[in-house]
Amino acid sequence: MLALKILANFIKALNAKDGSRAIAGGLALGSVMGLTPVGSLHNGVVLLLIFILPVNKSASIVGTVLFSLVGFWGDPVFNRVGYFLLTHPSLQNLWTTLYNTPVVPWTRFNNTLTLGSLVCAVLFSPFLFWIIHKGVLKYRQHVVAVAAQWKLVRWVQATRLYLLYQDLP
Amino acid sequence: MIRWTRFFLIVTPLALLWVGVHFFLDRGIRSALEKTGTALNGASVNVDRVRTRFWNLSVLIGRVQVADPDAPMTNRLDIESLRLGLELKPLFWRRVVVDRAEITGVQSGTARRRSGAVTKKSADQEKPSFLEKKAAAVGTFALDNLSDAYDPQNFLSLETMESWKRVKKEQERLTALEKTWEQKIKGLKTDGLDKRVKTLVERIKTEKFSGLDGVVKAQALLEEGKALQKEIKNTRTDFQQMASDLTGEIAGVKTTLRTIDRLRRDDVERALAKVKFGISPQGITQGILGPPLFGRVQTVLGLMNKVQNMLPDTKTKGPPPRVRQGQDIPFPFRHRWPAFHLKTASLSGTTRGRRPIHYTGTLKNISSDPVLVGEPLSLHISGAEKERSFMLKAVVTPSRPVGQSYEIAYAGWPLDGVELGQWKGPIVMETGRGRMRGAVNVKGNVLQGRLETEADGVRLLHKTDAQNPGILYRAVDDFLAGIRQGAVTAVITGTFQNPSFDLTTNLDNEFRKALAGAVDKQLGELKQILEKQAEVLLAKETEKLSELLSTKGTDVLNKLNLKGQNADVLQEQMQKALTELSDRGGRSIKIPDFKNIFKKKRTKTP
Repeated sequence: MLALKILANFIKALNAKDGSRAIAGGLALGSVMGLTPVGSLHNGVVLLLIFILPVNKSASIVGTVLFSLVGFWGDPVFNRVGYFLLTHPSLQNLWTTLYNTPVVPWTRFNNTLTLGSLVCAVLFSPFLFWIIHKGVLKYRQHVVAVAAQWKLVRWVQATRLYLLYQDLP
Repeated sequence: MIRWTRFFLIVTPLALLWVGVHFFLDRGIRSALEKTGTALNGASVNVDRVRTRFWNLSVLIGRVQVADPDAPMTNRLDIESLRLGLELKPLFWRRVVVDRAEITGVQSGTARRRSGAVTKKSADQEKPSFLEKKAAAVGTFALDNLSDAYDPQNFLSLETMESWKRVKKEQERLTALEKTWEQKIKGLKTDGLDKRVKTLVERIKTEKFSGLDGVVKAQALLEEGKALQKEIKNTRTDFQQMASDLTGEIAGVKTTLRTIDRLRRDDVERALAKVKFGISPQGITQGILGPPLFGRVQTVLGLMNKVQNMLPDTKTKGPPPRVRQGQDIPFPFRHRWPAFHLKTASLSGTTRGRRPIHYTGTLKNISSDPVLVGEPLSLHISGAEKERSFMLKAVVTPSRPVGQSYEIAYAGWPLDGVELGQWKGPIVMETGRGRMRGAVNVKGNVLQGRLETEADGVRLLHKTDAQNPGILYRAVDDFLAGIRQGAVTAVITGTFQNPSFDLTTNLDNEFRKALAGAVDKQLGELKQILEKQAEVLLAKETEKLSELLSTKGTDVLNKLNLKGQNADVLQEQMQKALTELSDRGGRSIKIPDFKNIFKKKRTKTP
């Protein structure tokens, strides 16, 4: 039920006239959480950002779920990236300093998958933000406006279920 | 006026942290413990609850059940509670150093509500271990031999008798020899010689020698006769040689028959030796005391091997990282903290069994990296309950190869109802108290240890279903009934994969004395039976061999002799004919004189 509510909220936000940046921001932050292993300390920071920043919370949850699935496919690449970075001779001093710095080891940065996926997700998130932002605008312009004229949509809008959906906060 | 935005900015992270810790941290730790424990144990590890306390940095873990992979409905280890006091500083570096711990209510062998099985064992794992086989072998050795001791057929079968093998070999050799000789005799044909002698004799008789032509003819016949005589003589020599060879071969077979008789006696002795060990004091005591002792040694060695395998030095390379796990790359670390280190833990629990003993002790230096810690892992527990007491000291040194040393002492061991081995029926200890002490050292894979067990106030119950158990059974039974105390020493050597046990007991000598008369009598009777059995088994085959020798060998020899006699007859005929020829020449003109006359004439003519 909670999942349906979250999904409905996301669709509602997607179809609303404003807040495209909030949706894009939510999905981008959600992608960072989804692509990196659950339980890493940096995810706490991302979660904090989701609560602090004016981003769509439902979009972040949807983004986390969606990109978790993508994450499984990307693991081999993330592992390689992480291994490359952690074993690169010029970065050894940095990693050793971080390894010996309190609290930092909790981020598990010395794990190939954690570091690789975090670096990839952070690099990928601005592009994702921009793509989603543009995508939402296009969607509203071309899909929502046209679909509103369809009989099926009008019929759905007349149902009680749709009214319940509209009543959602 | 409250700035709500700022207020929420501060409160939200704190609230999130509280929610995270309250709802997820304990659950997360519990889940991690269960997952890791199950992976290491090979069967379920269940943790009832985990409660972390930040104000005093402690973790309380309630009821930890470690299922036994071999018996999933039983717990290998059941801990009522673990209270861990953590050090603050290492936590900042993601290192868990437990400064002090309290482990209470340790038990083993408790029943589980749900099965703890996680994976099905492969066929290889289900195979009995070397120790199981060894224990079973020792446990049943005496029984097997003794139960069959009076059935000589099980000890003397044709396939295992050396004498029978030799008889068969000789039979085959003799048959082949006969064929060879037959062929040789066939090869020596006297028929042609026979005809030629007859023809020559006929010619000598019928021929008329007159004039010079007669002299020449007689001379030619004489030459031919002499050549034929020589040929007959050679053939005769050949026959004699062959007969002599064959006689030698036959004599050889006769010697072999005597060897077979000796082998038969050896076979009987060998069979008797097996029985002797089975009914020897050593054999019987090993059969009686082997199973319970080896069962315990097996359990102890199994545990040591598991400890050995869990240490980083001997750990085999693990499987590749699982999905979403990655690989941890280590970097130089300034502190000497392993990922986990339990410095000291007080321990209390109860032993398994009908009358458990409560014990206390200490456990030191359990860590994820013993080499880094550099101090030995040690366990020292002791407990007493009325007249019973026990002590266990175990030290594992993080050297290369890993060293382990164990000391164990157990007094007041109740032996009532302890099942020993069998000897024509089960032997059970009705009453008795035992003491056990031992020390085992392990370096790498090499074992060296000694386990001494003493029992007092013993009363043994010996039952048999046999209708007529015999004199030996009665002697053993009397001896067992008289046992009141005993000592057994097991010396352990070898490796985990191939351990070796040397079992000695003070009962051996007493047993030898008690059984001497009965054993000798039984063995004497058994020897007679075995000899008769061997004779029955071999008689037929030996008879066959003798028959083969007498019929075939003699047959071939007779043939040879006959041929020899024929040659003699021919020789005689030839001699007679030649004498006759000489006589005829002598009556008219002496053939050599003629020869000389002609020779003289020839010389004068030119």
